Amino acid sequence: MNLTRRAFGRLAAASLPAFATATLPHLSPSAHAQSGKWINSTFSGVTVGLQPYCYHDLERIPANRPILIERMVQNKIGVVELHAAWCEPLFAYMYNTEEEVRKAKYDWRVNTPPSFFEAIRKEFSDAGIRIFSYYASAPEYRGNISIDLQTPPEEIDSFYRAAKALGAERLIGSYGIAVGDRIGKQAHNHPGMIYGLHGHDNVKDPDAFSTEQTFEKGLAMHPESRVWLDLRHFTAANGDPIAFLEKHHERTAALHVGDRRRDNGGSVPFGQGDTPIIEVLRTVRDNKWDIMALLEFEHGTLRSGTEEVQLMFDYCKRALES
Amino acid sequence: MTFSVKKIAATLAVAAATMHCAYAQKAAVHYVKPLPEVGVVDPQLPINPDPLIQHGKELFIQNGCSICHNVRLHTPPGAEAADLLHSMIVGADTDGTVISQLLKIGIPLSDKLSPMPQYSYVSEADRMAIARYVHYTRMEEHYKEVMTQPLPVGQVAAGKTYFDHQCVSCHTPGQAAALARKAGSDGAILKPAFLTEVTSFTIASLNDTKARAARSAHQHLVENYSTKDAANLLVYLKSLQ
Repeated sequence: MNLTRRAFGRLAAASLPAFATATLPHLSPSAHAQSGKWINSTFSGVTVGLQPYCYHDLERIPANRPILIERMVQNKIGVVELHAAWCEPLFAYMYNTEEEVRKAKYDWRVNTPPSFFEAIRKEFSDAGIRIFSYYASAPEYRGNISIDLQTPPEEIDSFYRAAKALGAERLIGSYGIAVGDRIGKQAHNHPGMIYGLHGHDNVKDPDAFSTEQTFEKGLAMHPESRVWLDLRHFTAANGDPIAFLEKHHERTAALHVGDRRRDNGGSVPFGQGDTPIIEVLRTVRDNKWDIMALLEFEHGTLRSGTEEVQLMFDYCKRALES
Repeated sequence: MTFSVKKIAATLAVAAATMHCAYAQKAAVHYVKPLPEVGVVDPQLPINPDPLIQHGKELFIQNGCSICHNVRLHTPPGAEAADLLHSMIVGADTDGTVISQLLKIGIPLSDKLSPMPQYSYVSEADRMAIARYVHYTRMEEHYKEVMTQPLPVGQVAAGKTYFDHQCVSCHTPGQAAALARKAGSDGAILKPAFLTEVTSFTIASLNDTKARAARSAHQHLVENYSTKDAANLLVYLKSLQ
């Protein structure tokens, strides 16, 4: 792909924050790197990580990445699922039309070298945090979908390359069966990579991952596909997460841990809804299943994001340690 | 040497903001939409001087509404959630009952990935408090939207039609013109000062149904008028003076 000088300048400028943050060692919480230690958030064999969406008082933008890292250090959480929005330029804010946004995203994704993501990886590893997975959704012009049926295979490949450069061997996205199939298909080009199927609770849409049957359909599509079971949404869709894991634990890579009420009920603080969080975590622990527990909650709070994450993290820690 | 976590976080926030600004200005990247806020944003701030509105705001945050709809009702580009600031359903709700009912049953048949949940377990009083906050915020934010751009040239005839449709049940043209003269500025005509006054609980006010109805009716107007409506109404009222 040939870039015009103007387009290159724009993309280079848009990439600036990652390089800028990477060159600010005095701001980086590098104590862990100096001591050579990773933050340990594994309890009784189950690792509890974070989908930083939980910091609802912090916009998911590259400029906020240093604060994200600082907060994770403060919360003592050593594993992160990194949303593309923390890495990619704000295309949706730079262009007026969907066509322009699509072109800019394509150019940037296909042309951005691995060193860009390696620099981001270093920011986290310097702080003792491992990147578990790369979440392939980012804000854009309309629809909050960064991959869709029009996205060419080489652009999908760029997400796998980014995940690899970040040190994550897993790509995940909130997509339905049709788009999930397109993404999953590309996984075989990237040995060792898996694609995570993440569901919500729209049981009316046959394309959406929501029930056990829809996940089974997704797993059958590609050998590299794994389930990212969102406990909140699965409960709201009236599913039984323990029964699901009993049957599908070998092809479940991670849990999104949060609480909701059944029958499309709202999100609530841990323990106030219908999601059997404690029981699920202990089931994973007692059966020694290789499943990551990633905090991802959506309930509101009057506390700061750091305080709320700490409370929910401690809830999981207690469940696993007792 | 020791640093407090708060100090480090504040330093990082400033550094991030500086980089963000440098990113936007020096690197010649032209943004066509207002950028998201950099640093930690406390959704409770600013605290509303009216404790009733603040109560509704806190419930709006605590029940997770603000996560999808934004605490100031400004949904970002690409958001899945309904834009409450411009929603016709919310605009048609005059007393909060429509919002309260929607909260009770949710919107399960949406084609969105994650349909709006139901909040049947939240009390009716709390649902109404959330609705009150939504209407108040719509009024404030819609007014800002209208006033931050130059109003178009108004048409007297169209202003009269608007007045006859929306205002005449409470005001005669003469009364309205006098009130407009007293208010002074265009802004004070379009959003009378009493709309942002803290609710009075004197016994006389409690029984003043007229004042309550006036507040509700004016709030509804401010929530919904277009820039054209506003310009037309102003020209019409001035033509009466």
